[in-house]
Amino acid sequence: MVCLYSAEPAGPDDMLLAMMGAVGREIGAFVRRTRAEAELRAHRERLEELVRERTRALERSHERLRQAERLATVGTLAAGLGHDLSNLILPIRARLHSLAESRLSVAAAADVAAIGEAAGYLQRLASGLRLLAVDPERAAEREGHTDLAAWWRDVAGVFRAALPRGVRLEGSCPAGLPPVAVTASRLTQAVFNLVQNSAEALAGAGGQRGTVTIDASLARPEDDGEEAQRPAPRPPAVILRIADDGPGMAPTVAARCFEPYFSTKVRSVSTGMGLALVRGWVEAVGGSIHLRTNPGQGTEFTLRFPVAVGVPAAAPSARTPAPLRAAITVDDRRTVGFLGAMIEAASARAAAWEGDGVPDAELWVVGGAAARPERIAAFLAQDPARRVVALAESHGQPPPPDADAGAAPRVCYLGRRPTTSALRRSLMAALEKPEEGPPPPPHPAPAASMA
Amino acid sequence: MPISVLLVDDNEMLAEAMPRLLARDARFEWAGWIEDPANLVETVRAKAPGVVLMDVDMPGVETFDLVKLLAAECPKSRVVMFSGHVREDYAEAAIDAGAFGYLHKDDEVGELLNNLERVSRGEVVLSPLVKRTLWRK
Repeated sequence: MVCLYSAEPAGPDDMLLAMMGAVGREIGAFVRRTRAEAELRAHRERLEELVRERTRALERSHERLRQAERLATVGTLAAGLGHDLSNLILPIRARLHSLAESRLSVAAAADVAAIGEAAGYLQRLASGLRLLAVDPERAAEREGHTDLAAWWRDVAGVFRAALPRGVRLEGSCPAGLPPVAVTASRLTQAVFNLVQNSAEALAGAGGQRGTVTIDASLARPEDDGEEAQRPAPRPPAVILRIADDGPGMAPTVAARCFEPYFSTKVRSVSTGMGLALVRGWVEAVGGSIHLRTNPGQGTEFTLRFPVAVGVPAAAPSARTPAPLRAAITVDDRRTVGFLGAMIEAASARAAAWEGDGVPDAELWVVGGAAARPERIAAFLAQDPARRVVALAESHGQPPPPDADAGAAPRVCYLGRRPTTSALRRSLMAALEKPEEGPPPPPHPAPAASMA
Repeated sequence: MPISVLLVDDNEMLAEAMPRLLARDARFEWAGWIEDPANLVETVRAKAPGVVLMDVDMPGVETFDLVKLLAAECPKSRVVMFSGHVREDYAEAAIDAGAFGYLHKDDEVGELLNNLERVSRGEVVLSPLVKRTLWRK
């Protein structure tokens, strides 16, 4: 809009108005054009920024893919080597075992024992090498669990063997910790990466001697640092620390070390993706990674892994709940054997008996006439704590109502000849039980029988 | 009466070591070694071993089909898998096919012998690593 002011009173001047109108239109056109050009420039700049962002994202994902392929290749190679090594060591171990059973002189027996120790070490090395493999069928797998003490026995030899001269690996993972919710191979790759970083930092600091230390413990509230102030308690977790007494990192390096591409090493040695990948792996299973370092004060990575839900600790701890009591009344002896072995796998939480002499059992695996739906319905009605895996058809019989919403169904019909997979999965679902809680009450009724 | 054990495996060094191992243990006797399982059923019929210790990965062999065939044709000879590969699907397929267990080649030798005895009694045996793998959710 163009306004015209005059110092003197004046009447309408059509000519002046026409001229001013023309000037106003020109000014308006100029302003519109300028605005349009500014918008166009802003759009172009935004577009260019978007292209740059997309290009960076593509480069990142390409690099991740390249790194993953390289890891997969190295892992496959390591696993093949471990497998072949195992095939060689097994006959040696078999011969040593038979030699040890022979009448040997004291000196020969000592030799056999020493060779046996070396073979045992090689065996653990082979087992550890296999854990570096990325199973292509499970590359994207986020489920799995690892008993840290058993894992450490397998991998410690490999980790030590990969260290440069003068660098020692100390520490251990104690037995009795709950299993962590990460696959053994992924855990191995992550920790191997961190141990290698520490070793390279130590070796790079003038080839000095140094120590890399690993230890594991149950997470305590103070391990959460500032996050301990959060209103809701965090789920149970295990802390795995990988520390070294090397040169540490400068604050500027520490601040960027988890960034993709960031590296203090020359490019031929590192792509700068190691720590970014480790963080990705840890976070993918619901864990976290924390770095504490200062120049001259070493480096400590703290990995926090959630405890695997529904998986018993390998060794019973003081907090082990009363075992779930299971009874198996199935005709087929091989099925009974498999069920027994599976229940044994959950040994800290379950105990199994063959036959129906366990009136207060909570879990019943039944077959034959005892698995008829009407008998199961009557059996479940006697005790609300009971659950049944039935090797029979349900014949459309609905399961009895379960007062405990969210709990596993109280009865599960698998058909007369279920697959091992169905049997295993239903058993695991049935063995789901809260870690805490009172032991099961003794069954008040007279001896129950499903026979 | 000792438990006779037949080994089906393409590892020749293992085949040479096994008879020496079993010879030291009164519970067992060596039934022999089969490298190529083309005539496995006939061999098992003829030798009637108590336990068939069978590798999972043999070149050109559909192992679990063989286990199924043996379970049907020679039910008194109990098959147990013996492998360096522990996979959930392998272990499940083995049990489905009629095997009496799945043992890992990294197991302690004494534990292996005890498990062979258990298989001969009709028990199902799984190595600790196999149990952990099968228990995975």
